[in-house]
Amino acid sequence: MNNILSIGIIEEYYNIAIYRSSLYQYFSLAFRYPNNDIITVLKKEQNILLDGMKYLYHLTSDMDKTLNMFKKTINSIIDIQELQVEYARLFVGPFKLPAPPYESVYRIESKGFLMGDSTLKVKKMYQEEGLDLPKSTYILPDHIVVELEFMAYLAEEEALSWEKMSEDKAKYYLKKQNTFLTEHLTKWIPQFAKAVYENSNEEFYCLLAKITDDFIALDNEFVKTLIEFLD
Amino acid sequence: MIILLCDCNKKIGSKLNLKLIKSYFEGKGHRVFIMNKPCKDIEKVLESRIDEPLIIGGCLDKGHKIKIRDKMRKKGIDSFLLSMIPLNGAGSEEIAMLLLKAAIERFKLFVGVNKNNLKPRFDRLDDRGLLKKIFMLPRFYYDIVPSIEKDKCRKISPYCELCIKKCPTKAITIDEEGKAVIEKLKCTGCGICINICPANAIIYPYFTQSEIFRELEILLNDKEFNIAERSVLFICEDSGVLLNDFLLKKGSFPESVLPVILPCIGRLSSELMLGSFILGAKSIGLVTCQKEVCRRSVKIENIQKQVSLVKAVLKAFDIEGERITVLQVDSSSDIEEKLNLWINNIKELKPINISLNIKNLTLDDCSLINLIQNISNITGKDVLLRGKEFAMASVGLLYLDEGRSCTLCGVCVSYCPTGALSIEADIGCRKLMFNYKNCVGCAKCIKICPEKVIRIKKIIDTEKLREGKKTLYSENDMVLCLNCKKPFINQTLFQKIKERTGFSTSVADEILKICPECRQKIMESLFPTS
Repeated sequence: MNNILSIGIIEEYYNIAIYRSSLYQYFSLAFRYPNNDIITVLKKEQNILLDGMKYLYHLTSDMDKTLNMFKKTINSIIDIQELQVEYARLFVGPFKLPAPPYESVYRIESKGFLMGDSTLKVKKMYQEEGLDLPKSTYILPDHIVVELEFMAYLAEEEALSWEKMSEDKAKYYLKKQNTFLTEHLTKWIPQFAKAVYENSNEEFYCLLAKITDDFIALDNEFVKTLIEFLD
Repeated sequence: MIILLCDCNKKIGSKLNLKLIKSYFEGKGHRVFIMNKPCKDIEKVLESRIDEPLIIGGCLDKGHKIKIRDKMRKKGIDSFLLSMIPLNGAGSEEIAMLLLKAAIERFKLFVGVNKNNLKPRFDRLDDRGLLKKIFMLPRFYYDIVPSIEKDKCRKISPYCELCIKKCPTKAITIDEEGKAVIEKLKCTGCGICINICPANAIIYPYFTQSEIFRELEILLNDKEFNIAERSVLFICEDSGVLLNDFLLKKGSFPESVLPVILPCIGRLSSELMLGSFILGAKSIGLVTCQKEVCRRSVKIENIQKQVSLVKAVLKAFDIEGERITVLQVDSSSDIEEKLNLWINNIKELKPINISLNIKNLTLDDCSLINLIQNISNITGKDVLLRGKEFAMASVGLLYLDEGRSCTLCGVCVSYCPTGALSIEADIGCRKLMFNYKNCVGCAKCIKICPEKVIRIKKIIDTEKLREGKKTLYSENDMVLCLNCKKPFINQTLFQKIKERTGFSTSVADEILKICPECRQKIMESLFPTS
């Protein structure tokens, strides 16, 4: 391939990876316990969400509407306490959770228990990348925040590899993302999103769940096509 | 709707009076703008978020289309609301208005794109052609692929499988529920499967058959503009660039040639080709690329087959086969030569008269067999079409092998995907009925028949068609149940069962001549459940 050409194209791959990484980062943040800092960041970086989604995917008019509604909702958040109560009710406890944010709950293999097979598999994937959860936190490896952040990490590594012009390494990270998407995220996010959507009255979480669901489905397809194209 | 009239470098403006066109469509309630470079300045229009279709009257360059689509996508607008109409090929204002009007009417049927129908696409360098374009065009864009509506799809195995067989890339598979699914990664969006599905379960929301049909209807039948002897030139989106160069040199298509841009010529079924003639086309041409297998994996060979089928039908009605031509082109000089040849050929032909009295022809009437019957009704001529051209056609005339006997078991009926076969039961009489019009010639019944009695002829016989629904086999004698005296099985099946069991007549009569309901009652009385 002509050198000048390949630079132009690799730049595009770099952009794609950066956009994807920041989208995962954004969603991961949005599923964290909402405190002042996090809401401020979500408000500040809302354009990443809109621009990224539009840059990468073809949005149908429904999705476009949902995104714009989400933008409005974020900007109109005043009472963080209300969000915090809803977050605790949905995802933390102490009562029965309407929408537990853990993968293993939704996987048939682990029969709805926490710390099932899938949890260990996820943990193993983190370890393969030399990552581990800090011992001091009580967060499980298959919590939605961790899984999304792992995707963000992989996409960022991919972007860095493109920057260094090492195609093989970039492909390696891309394939890792594909595996993680097909074997984990796409297997439970739809059910999780549905649970949130049906059980929450807070517009923020309803819309967030809807967008996350769409995003995972779209990105799964996108990554698959990109890998097929690069091979 | 928004109409942008492209006037870049006065290419179109020097030929056509754009202001006239503008005022005509403004009178119809559309927003019309004349723009110098719509491909570059499209953002100005997109800023005021549009949710209505955008029609650009401009050129045939697909690159521009992709670029504008990309800009629309990045604004969060459904980019398939865009249509580009080649006004640079229009010889007069009237033709330009007709082309735009047809596009507007087509868009009225457009329902929007579902997310299941979208597929990201990364283009290879060799698809892009010119070097400079590599930097201008987006590196990925979105394409439309068909999707399957699960509720409509009949359980595939063992029923239908028609789409699976026809898919050139083997993208259709069966899921756990036994229904067809399209693997997006493999699908090229050629759309061959759509016309085949007897249940209409395959959805392709862009350039549907009814949309194309509507466009043709306006182009060919609209009496508002006085354009005589209209011909249609179907153009594959990918080959459009070549025509652009031709039009730059030549100025326009000859007076009566109306261009129709399709995403893929493979979407053009033989029904639509024949339909164009019924709608009044003098002749039709198909512009395809030179590659034997295009990027959508449509084989030129298959298009040729469809064309030769249409030719055979036309010939049967004494219409010259030359009225339909495939123009395979690979360069702009090539296209000039071939187009000129085609245009000269059609100049000498007279308009045909099969379009008489066709009113309100809807797409539902547009199966191949219906169209042929329509022509036959108009011309008053009965035809018998057979031969290798019809081997691939979705028609079939079933008959029974006289040497074997049908037992009216009804297995074929349950396997028939279109309901062409049915069993009708009266008191004391069962009939196997065949509806010639509905048969798509899939030959499922032949493979499945346990008596191997069904045969198929790949012919179109208008005389037989007129007869309508026909009895293939009827059995008048029914066997009466010894217990309740109700008929429950037909004679041939009874004989067959008797033969198999090997019982003598007296025993058989006693045991077998009892209907299932009575049998159960008797069994229950003999062996009562505790």
